[in-house]
Formats: sequence, C-alpha cells, structure tokens
Amino acid sequence: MMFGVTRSNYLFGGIVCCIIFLSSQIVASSYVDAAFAEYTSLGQATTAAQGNVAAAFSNPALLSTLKKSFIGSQSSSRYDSDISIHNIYATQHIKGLDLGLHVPVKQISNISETEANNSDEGVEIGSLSDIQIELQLSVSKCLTEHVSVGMSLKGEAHKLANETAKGIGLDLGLATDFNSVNVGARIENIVSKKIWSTGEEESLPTLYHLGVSYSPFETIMLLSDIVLGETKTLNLAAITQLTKNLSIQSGVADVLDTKKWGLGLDLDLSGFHITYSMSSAHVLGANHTLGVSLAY
Amino acid sequence: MLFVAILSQIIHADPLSPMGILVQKRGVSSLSFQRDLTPLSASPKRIKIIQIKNRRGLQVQGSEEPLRLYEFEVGSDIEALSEEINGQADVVYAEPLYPVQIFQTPNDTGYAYQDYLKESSLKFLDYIPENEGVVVAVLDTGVDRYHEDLSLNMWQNIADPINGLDDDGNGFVDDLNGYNFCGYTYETPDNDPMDQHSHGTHLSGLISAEQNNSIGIAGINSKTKIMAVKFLDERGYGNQLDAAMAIRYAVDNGADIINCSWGFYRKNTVLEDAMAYAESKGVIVIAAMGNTNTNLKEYPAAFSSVWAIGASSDSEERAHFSSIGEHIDFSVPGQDIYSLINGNSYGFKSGTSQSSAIMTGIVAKLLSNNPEATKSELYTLLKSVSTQSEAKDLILGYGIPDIEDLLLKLNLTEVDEEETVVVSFVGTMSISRFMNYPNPIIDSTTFGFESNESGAEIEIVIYNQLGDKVDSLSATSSSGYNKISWTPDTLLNGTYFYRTIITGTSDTYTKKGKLIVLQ
Repeated sequence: MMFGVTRSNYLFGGIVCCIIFLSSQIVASSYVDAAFAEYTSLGQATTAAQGNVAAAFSNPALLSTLKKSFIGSQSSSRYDSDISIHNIYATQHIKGLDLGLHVPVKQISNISETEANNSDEGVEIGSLSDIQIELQLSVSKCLTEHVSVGMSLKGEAHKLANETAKGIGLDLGLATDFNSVNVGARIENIVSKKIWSTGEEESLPTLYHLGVSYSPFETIMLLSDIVLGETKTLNLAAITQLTKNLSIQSGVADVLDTKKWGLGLDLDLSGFHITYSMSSAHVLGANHTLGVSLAY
Repeated sequence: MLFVAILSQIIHADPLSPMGILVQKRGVSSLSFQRDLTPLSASPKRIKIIQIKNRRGLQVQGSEEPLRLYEFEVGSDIEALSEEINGQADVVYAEPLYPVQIFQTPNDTGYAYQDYLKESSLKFLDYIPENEGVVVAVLDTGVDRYHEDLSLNMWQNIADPINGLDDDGNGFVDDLNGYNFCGYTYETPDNDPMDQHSHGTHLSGLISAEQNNSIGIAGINSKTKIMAVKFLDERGYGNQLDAAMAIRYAVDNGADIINCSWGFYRKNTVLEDAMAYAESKGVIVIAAMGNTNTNLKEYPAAFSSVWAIGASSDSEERAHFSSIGEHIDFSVPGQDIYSLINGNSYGFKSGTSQSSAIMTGIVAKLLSNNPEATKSELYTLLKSVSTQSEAKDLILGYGIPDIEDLLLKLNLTEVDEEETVVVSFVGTMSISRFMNYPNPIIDSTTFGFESNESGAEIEIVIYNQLGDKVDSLSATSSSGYNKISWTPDTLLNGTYFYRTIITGTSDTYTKKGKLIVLQ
C-alpha cells in the first residue's frame, strides 16, 4: 500500500495540526449522545458502516466513503420522552476533502429539584433542566483508494441546572477495506476538556472503537464493533437491502450485558431519505427517531 | 411555543383574583329587571342573571330581583368596581365573586408517616358502633364512585335515574350519583360528579371507606353514605357561587353533614346565605381552617354556623401549616393521612382538609348512633371530651377530642379483642414520596421514601444517558421513612436516570426518575 504525498495531503495535515493545536488551547470539551436514527437501529455498531452518513459523524473517516453529499435533520425522543434530541447536519466534498457539519441539541426537562426538610426528609422545591448544544466539524481525506482518515472537532455549550459549562473534544478516525471486508477505527475524545462555571474541570474518558463490516451477499451487510474504555462493549448489527429503495437495519448494543436492541428503516425517494428507528433501553423506556435528508 | 406560553399565562393569570361582581338589587318595580346600573368606569363584558333555586326549582330570593353577575375584562379592578356599584341607588350589595380552592399541602412537604387510627386517641373510635342512616355530602372535587374501597358506600338519588328526565323534580336532571356544580355560574354544570383530582376521593375514604374487606383502608364510619357534590375542577379551583349552589343541593337532598375542605379569605353573601340555609335545616357543616399557618380567616370555616377544624400533629400540637384564629373549634390529625386516590389507588395527603374529613367521620359515627342528636348536642359532647375543653385558644380551639374519654361519656365499654374491628391495610404496600435529595447532587444524595411495609427488598439502579448501568444499590425497607445514601464517586457531571424496584410481600413498586450530578 502506497502512501503518496501530494499537495492536498499537506493541506489536510496542516488542518489536522491546526485543529489539534486549537483544541489544546481552547481548554474545553463536550459530548452529546449520537442523535441519529442509525446510531440506535445499528446497535451503535457504526464504526465500519461505510457509505452511511450517520456513521460518518461517529467515525469521521467514513465521510470519504459517502457517494453523495447530504443535508438533513432528525428528531429523537428517548426513554419515553425523558430526553429529546434534534439535529441538523450536512456533508460536502470540497477539493479533495470531505467535510461534515453536525449540530445536535439535547434537552432533558422536569428534573425534580429537592432538598432535605427540617426532619431530614426529602421535599421537592422546584424543577430543573439539562440542555446541551454541540457543534461538530468533521473532515476526512482519502489517503489511498482504500484508506481514509478523518477527525471531528466538537465544541459544546452545556447548561445543567443552574450551572453552565463550555467544552471541546477531538475524535480521530480511520477507514479501510480489504476485498468485501470493511474495517474502521475511531479514537473518541483523544482530547477532551470541559470547564464548569463552578471551576470544575472534566475530561471525558478516551474510548477506542474498532469496527468490522462484511457483506456476504450484495443485499446484506453485517457489522460489529468493539469499544474499549473503562469497560468493553460488543455491538452487532445488520443492514438488509429489501428493495432498491428500502433497507432495514437491526442491531443489538452491548450484546454481552444490557442487550439494547434497535430496529430501523431507510426509504430512498429519489434522493430524499426518510429514516426511522426505534430501540429499547429496557427499563428506561423506548427511543424513537425520525429523520429526513436529501442526497445530492 | 410563545402562543402556548401566553395562553398559559392567561389561563393561570391569577387564580385568586375575583371572577366578577355579584350584584343584588332591590325589586322596587317591575321595570327593575330592565334597568341596569349607571355607567361604570369600566364596562362589563357580560351580565348574567343568576337563579338560586330551591328544591322545587323556584327562585329563593322572594320578591328580590335575581342576582346578577357582572363580568369584566381580565385585569379590571374588581374591588374598586364593586365599590362603585355599591354606591348606586337600589343596590342591596355588590360583592366580588371570589374563587375558592382546596386546602392541601403538597404531598411532598415531608412529614413522618402517622398511623392516625392506631397511634392517637382516634383508635378508640373502633369501640363506637357504626350504623347506617347518615348521609355526608362531600363538597369538593367530586368522588371516584367506582373506587374499590368506596363504591358500596356511595349515596344515590334513586328517585332520579339516568333517563334524561328530572324524575324527582328537584331541578337537576339525572342526578342519580350526585351533581357537578363546577361551572354552574357559566351554565355548564352536569350530572357527573366524578373526581378528576383525587382530593374529594381522599376525603371520602377517610369518612367512609369499606372496613374489613381485605383491601385498602377503613373509613371512620363505613356505613355512612357519601353524597358526591362536585364544584371544584380538576385543579381544585371553583368559586363561591358554585359552592353555594352545591350546599343548597346537599341540604335539599338529604345530607346530614356537609364537609367543606376548601375556602377563600374573603367572604361572600351568597355563600353565607347558603350556610345559613344549611343551619336552618339542621345540617352540620364542617370546614377546614386552611393551611396558611397564619390567622387569616378562611370562609366558610370562619362563618359562625360552621365547625372550623384545624390540623394537629402526632405530638398533639398544631400542625405547622394549620391556620389559627378565634373561630377554630377543634383540631384533629392532618399530617400524612393515608386514604383513597382515584383509580383504586391509595396515598398520603396532608392538610386541614384531611382534618375536616376526619372530624366529619367522627360526627357521622356519633350521629349514626343517635340520629336524633342535634348539632348543638354533638358539639357540646365533643367539646366536653376535648383536650382544652375549658380553655379554648386560637391555636387548637377546644383541642383534640379524646375518644377514650368519649367512650366513658357514652357509657360504652371496650369490645372484646376478637370483636374489634380490624383497621387493616391488608394487601396493599404503600410507597410514597420516593425521591433523591438533595438534587442536584454535590457530594452525595439520599434516596428517601415512605413505606408501610418492613422487609421489602429495595433495588435502585442508576443509568447514564446511553442506558448503561453505572451503579446499583440494594437495601431492605422498614416501616416509616426510609433513607438510602449514595455517593456518585466517579461519575461526570450530567443527568442520570434511576429505576427503583421495591418488592413487598404482596405488591411491587417501581419508579423511574432523573437525578443530576453536579460536583
């Protein structure tokens, strides 16, 4: 495998260095749960899901595997409406670089504010909320016909109860393929810092994702992810192309423990994609996500 | 969203502001119906003729003109406009029509569980036989007449079955199960007094829930019939005119006692007239003092003909929320009282509302033993056995009736243990006020809750926003208030979810909640 050096390689490398430099200066970090239908319908096994726009915002290297540019929006209700997430996103190929922009907004409302009364028993005194907005800028570059790398810079503003925080984080990704096997890798939060109005500083744990996908038939793709961090998680999924315009997705996140299943479908109407997923977090309730996007 | 917010502000602008002005004019001539007031500083947007009818559907005001309700735009100075109208010729009175509301401290104000039928002198109520024949009208948010622990004790007006006709000619069509006066002022009453709030159902259970049926609780006099007379809406709000109509309905349809666990700090002639009407018919009206912890008079409790009931604590002192004043007659327990909740449920509520209902149950029980007893005789009897019978004060009135002493007065002996009516909570595990506190969590938090069962297994699992389990706790419950401490040592700031499962001998309680770690 050759790694030829061109002008665009220099440009990409410069951007990477610039982003890493900036991320180390801005001293903040953020993380908003993935807001895409595919994230749940594929059981979070998205690291090697080549050609999938939602997966490209998990593993930025996958941006270079998209055949078209996308613009879209999705809305998600999690745990029987305890959490609502809305996002907008767009991807574009510009001068050898594949760029992605993603803005998710998450809101959790009606959180009881409580305190102890004079008898040291709990009393409810009000209601609190948790609101996060994130700006994710992703860039990907094909190094060779079969290898691409990417990164995502994430900026975040967070209001939690009466405190606020600002943060920044950085993910790196890699995508490659060998015959009909696709391999993806992602280092999530390789840089991460978040500063609260209380003065507290936090860093999100760095997670290492390794994904493999394989298509035994033209209409089926099997996916698996291993996530290594403080715990180890195995995620499995499958994408089945039922017709030219309709595919269904199914997956199980954390197969070895909580087994959160997900189902979804993607309907392609002449470039307009309608995406829906539902999943279960068992005792916490059901998740539903609906989205629409335009591929051009 | 903005529209919703503005609409919400309009609907809830000020639930305590007057709703209009009730005007009573002199019937000086037949033309007076046509003659209106001289122009006011603000024009009414609507004037309604209000008919207060007797049991035959006739106007009760005699030769007087009917009442008129002047409605003004939101924000009008109703008090000033009332003064303007009062200054005009031929006006007998013009008074703001005030809203009324239930007296109930929120369930989460936090008080230790009190088994008032076991640990106070009220336990001796078991030794007083209960008999049929007493009808208690619960004027409130309605009653869940299908509740498993109350349905057999609901009053029915069998003379007016549901057939679209006013069979008994009492002016109310199909009032088989009582009547709903909520909205009478605006001509939208109906014949369905179902409870949409649970306040009225909770009170009714205290008075007359079934005894010894192996479910739920035991009412103080379970042979009492509950007449459901609704005039408070699903939020617990109503107005004095609807209340007055509800009182007249209860009196005219055979109530012996009327329980009023609601009120407002301004009085009103229409309401006062209705109370006087009840008094004239020998009906006992028992009302809650209010939960303001001040000497603010609340009506109807402050009307002289009404028994005003305050709340006592488990240490037989005034409950901290209970209002005080020279008009208070008696005090009875009102903290963390367990009774019925809509939909075959049960729960705790606190307030002078509950105290009023407990006193209503006591009076109903006494009256069932001596239907000829007068209001005055019953009052004197209860006063004579109360803890401050010779030294009435503003705090507890004559104090708390000592039922053991009452047994001696009534010359009743304790029945054999085997014959004792069992006040049981059989088959029902009750968990309430489950929450973690403080929230947000700075260092550590406590999961606290009330339980009536000891030995139940408690499991609390904490999840992150991805639904992954991050910690778990387990413990065993004790009867009373339970506390389980938790320190989120390694968690990042953010919102987390918890799910609790409490497995008792007969029931399982589950709850999902949210907590914030903010260190």
